[in-house]
Amino acid sequence: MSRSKHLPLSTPQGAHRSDWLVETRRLGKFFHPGSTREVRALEDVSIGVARGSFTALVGPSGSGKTTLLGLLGAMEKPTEGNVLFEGRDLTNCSEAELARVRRRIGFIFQNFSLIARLPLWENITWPLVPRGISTAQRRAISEQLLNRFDLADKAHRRPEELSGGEQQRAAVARALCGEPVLILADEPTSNLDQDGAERLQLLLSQIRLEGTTVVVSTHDQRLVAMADTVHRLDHGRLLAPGSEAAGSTGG
Amino acid sequence: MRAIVEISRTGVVAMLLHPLRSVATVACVVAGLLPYLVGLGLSHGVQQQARDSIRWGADLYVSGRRFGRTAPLPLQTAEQIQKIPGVLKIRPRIVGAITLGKERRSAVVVGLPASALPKSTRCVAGRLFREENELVIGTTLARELKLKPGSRLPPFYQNVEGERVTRVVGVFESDAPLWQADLIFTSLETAATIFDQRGSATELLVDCGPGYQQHVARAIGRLTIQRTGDTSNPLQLRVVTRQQLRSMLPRGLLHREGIFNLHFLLVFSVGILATMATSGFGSAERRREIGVLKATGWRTDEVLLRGTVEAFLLSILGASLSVLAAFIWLEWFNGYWLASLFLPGIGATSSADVPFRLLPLPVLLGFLIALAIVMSGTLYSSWRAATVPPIEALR
Repeated sequence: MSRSKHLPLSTPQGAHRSDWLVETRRLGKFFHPGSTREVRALEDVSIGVARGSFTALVGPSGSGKTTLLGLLGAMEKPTEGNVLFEGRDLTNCSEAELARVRRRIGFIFQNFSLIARLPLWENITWPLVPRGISTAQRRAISEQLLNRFDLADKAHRRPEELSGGEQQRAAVARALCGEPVLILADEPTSNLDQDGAERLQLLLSQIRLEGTTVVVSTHDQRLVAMADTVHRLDHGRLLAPGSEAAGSTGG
Repeated sequence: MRAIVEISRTGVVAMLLHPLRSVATVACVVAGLLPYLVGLGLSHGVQQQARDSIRWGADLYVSGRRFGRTAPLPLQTAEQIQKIPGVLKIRPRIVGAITLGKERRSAVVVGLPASALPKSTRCVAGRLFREENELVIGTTLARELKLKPGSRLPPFYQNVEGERVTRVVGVFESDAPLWQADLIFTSLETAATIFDQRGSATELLVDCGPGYQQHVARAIGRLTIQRTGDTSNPLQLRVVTRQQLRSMLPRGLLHREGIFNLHFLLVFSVGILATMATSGFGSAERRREIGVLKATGWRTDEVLLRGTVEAFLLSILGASLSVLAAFIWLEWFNGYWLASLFLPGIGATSSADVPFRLLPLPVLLGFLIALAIVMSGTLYSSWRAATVPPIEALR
């Protein structure tokens, strides 16, 4: 029995509950729960993400940003509390149902997580394979995406043959290939130089303008400045709006 | 359906994507399967030859025993047996071992009437023996001792009649190459002289009319043979029927094959563990790859289908290579080393053509074993990576 449904949810800035694409209720994620090594990565976090919004999660390293993104993206199950995606509670979903949810989400990893040795065009369209999209169609989709992200001449290169910026753009292209309703980006500019970071910032703003909901965890002030909503985390807990965590770089 | 096809295609890509892992897995399959297929090929080849020999042989094989040991049969025995109703033909035969040349090459001399030579035997050079001290030898022996029709063999036996020079008059080939390896055919008289057994035979080959075999066998068993001047110890006759031979010969081979199979059960168990270890080549990469797939919306069953296709292709490749290599081992290398397990006494390197048969069933069995090895070896690691949450697989 969850306690959370009886408790009020912290209200995201100006968003109505029915507008929320994804929300969390008293969310908690503990590693080695019940043991002496228990780590509470996230505790009692309740947020809502409005459709079409740009949300930034800020906080010092180890504050739980990546864990929260993982839970929002149905990448793992919470220890306590609930995640609701399009109003549906993911807590009791089967593995197959979670996979279906993940198909509606594009995840951009901090370390890009491209498949080594696989040509770029295949890398960015592999999420489409289980949807039965043919190789020819995937090639066509990859061409469009690679053109959009200035990677057209790199279609047959392997990830290790690309620069960090190119790999990150490829990771964004992969996240977009399934036309997701939600983009989750985990510190997307942390491994990029100034030029690469600005380029990515531009890409994310374009994605947001196209109507896709974006949630980023970041230390980058430029991305924070783009956000409609900023959630600050510290030691796995959500800070009240206006309060500042020690060492936080969030704006 | 389209999704299954597309996922299967990524299984092919996965195999090519990790060449080291693929090569190591295929090598594991070949290492386990190749000797198994060679062994089965040899076993079935030898069994077939044994069956052929029985088919071409006589209905009854009669030999003599005295004091519990094999003893020569007087040729008069043939006359007594001939009187039994149902007996069509009797062929006396003398069989004995000799050594030839300075190489001390072992050979088996078979003395019998020229008309009684096995049907599968044909001369590839020269002719069959007609007179005394004429020999017809097998192709293997001829090649090894550099003998051909017209070659004279220095005296290799000596008896009361002194030394004799024998002459090779023909070289024979048989459908049963193993049996021709060490054989020398000659007339009954020459063999009797070589072994100093005039008037005797090692055994009698009896052909019966249809339906008479059991009756004749029983009648022969009742005969009492007295050697001249020895009335106290009559010779006992031992009769082996074609059916008895048919059941006796493969029994030994099947027993050997059974032991071989048991050993390979162990080998295949080790093979599965080895494949699990080789699939660990780049296991972190595989785990990460599966994590990426799951994070981008692949279901566990889809990841496993991809792994299954990869494992299936690797096992087909491994099994095909094993069958090809087994054929080469048997055909070109004459079943080197393994042949000695099935044919005791021929040594690791047999100069004779070792018989083999690669039948569809053992080949199919080989494919199934390869599939089991690779599936159990590689799918386990895929399954482990696919059943954890994607974020954990990526961690």
